[in-house]
Amino acid sequence: MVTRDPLSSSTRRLVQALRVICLLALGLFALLAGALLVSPELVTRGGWPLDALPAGPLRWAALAIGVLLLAPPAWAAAELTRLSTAFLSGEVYAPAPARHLSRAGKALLLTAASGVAARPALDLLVGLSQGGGSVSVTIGSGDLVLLGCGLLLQALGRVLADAARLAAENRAFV
Amino acid sequence: MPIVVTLDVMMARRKMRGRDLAARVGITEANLSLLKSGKVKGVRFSTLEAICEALDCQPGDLLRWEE
Repeated sequence: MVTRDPLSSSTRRLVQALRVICLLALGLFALLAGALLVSPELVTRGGWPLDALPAGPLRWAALAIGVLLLAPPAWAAAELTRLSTAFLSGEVYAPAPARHLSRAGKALLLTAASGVAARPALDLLVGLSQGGGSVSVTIGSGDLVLLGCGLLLQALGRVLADAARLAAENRAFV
Repeated sequence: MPIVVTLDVMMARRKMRGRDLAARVGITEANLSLLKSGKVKGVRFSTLEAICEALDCQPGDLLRWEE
């Protein structure tokens, strides 16, 4: 059974702002994925080594990596949109919001991991196109921040799941 | 469950309707019905106190243990 706990007006405004930002982010990711496929030269400005790759399978692989890199943050934005929708409908101490929060954490962890993995993968593609080369793995401060945020959301998701269980138990008492 | 709720007996003795008791105790009629049928995990002391006050009885008049 799910009970509705209406949010206070200030919290409601905050959650609405989060929902708008997440929807905008989702739109941006979709636009970016489309731009990558339609006009690949755009990605070279973002540091993508497309110029170094000859037209063919290697170039397509680099593009695929670029598009795949957008999937985890888009997943995070989708989960946070669902979370804010649940909060706005008054579903706070329930299993669904806890699940969405936990999944958003997982998506951020995946974003960090895919960011770290993508750079050596691209180096490998460039190396293959030039008949050799080296691959190095680097972890930036942005990756660490994403990792921290992902773990934090995962922890908060578990706390919210426990709170939902306690609320359900409390509702069983008259 | 070995604990039997005899709230309906006490309500009949006091000639009190469910709607009136629910209003005096401050719970919904649905919850009062669940309590009467014993379909709840537990009852709060505050609810028990309010029921005892409304029906002028002891907690033992509302609950009975059966083997």
